Amino acid sequence: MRSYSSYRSLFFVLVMGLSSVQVGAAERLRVGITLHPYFSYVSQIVKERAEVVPLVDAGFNPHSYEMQPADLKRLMTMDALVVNGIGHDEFAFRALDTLQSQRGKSGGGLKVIEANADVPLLGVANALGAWNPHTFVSISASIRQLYTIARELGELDPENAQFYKINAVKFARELRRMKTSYSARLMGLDLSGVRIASTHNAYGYFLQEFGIGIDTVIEPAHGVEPSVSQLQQTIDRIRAADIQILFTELNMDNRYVTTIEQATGIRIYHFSHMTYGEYDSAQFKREMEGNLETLMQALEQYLSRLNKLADTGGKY
Amino acid sequence: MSVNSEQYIEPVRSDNGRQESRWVLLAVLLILFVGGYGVTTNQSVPAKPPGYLLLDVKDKAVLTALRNAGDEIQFLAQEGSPLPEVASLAAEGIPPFSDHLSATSRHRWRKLDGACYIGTPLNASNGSSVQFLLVLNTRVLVYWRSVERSHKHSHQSKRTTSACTPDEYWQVLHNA
Repeated sequence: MRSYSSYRSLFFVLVMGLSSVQVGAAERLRVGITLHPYFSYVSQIVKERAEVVPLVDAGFNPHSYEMQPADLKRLMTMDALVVNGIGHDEFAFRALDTLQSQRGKSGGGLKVIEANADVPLLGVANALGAWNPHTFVSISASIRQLYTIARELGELDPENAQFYKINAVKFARELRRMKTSYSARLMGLDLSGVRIASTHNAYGYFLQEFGIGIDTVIEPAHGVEPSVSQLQQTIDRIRAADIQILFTELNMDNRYVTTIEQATGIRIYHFSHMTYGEYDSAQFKREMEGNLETLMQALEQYLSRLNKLADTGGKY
Repeated sequence: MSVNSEQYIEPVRSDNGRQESRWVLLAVLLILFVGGYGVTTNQSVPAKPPGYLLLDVKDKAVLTALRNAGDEIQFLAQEGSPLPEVASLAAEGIPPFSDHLSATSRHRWRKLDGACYIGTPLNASNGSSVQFLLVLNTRVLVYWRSVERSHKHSHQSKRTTSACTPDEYWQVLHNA
């Protein structure tokens, strides 16, 4: 009889334990994201205490995506949606409009987290009131967004608020250490003469944190090739401003880049745009490390060529 | 009683579309007038771009770093504990306080009144003429001001910057 009673107690404890795990799982926040870097940020913040749900399946082009019914269905299951909100995920706002029209202005309790709310944004040339949305191709601006997301998620889930904040700080420090280890290679180097062009206006925040500005952006819009006359103007501008380095996008075939290279002798380097491939919590750090390595190589090789030319009395 | 047809003259307008042309022209002018009036009266005043966009690239980087530092200090603060010293922030590698270790460092940082941090350009020749202020209350607020401008007007102003209370020469960081 005693043994039956103890088995029954054990069974009761097991059932209660399992049901509490299920309740715990059910209570986990479902946090949506619109772009790959936000998957990394939110995964690093929430760890296993919330589920990170991409709004759109991998393999889409964020510059031209149109929402599908399945995406809207997924949106309806989320507690929060983390957005870039300044031009890189306009597709999400069309879905949010649809959701609000169905569920009222609050969107059925969906909290929209504007990751860029506190980022000192960069403007876009010749476009008043428009912002450069590529804050995720940067370490400082990404840390800014990590903290905003952690704070907002903490308000939604006060029980885990401190957990989220501490994780955000830990990840920020990891990123900062990585940046410091690379930027140490630039210590004592004079970069005041370096002039940079970029095919796409995506690297302004990244270069800014090294005190480097972009002198010219070539593409009128992402993936839009310049016309022949625009290309000629670009070549003239590169020659006149003595621009030595051109950053372009990894895995994007830009035929005109070769033309510019041949016409001006400019050196080409490739950065990741961070918004392609499978969703992966380690993607941001991995691809940002690649960008850091590329930047260091570009600057070191520029300075090395400059020194060689100075030794031989030539002009860059 | 017969009518002499040769004496009866009835003027008839030529059916060459002139009248219709006039109506069309009038309609076009009316549309242009209404449209022009609408455009001129409904022009929205473009929002003034935030002042920080005029800062140079290195000062803009300080703004982002300072805003990050503010959150990081708050996230790690124990309730009621004083703000950490600049030296300890630098030792933990938190920019911009740790930037004195780098060749691009342009500011000297101090803690004021135990409630804020101020960054002053190291010297005029290093390129920055901007002071920064990080105030940590319930919110994190980042301010900046041009040192030259505030010096030029300081004799006219009766208000002084009492440590962590920014005067009218400070601009607060916010997006448009």
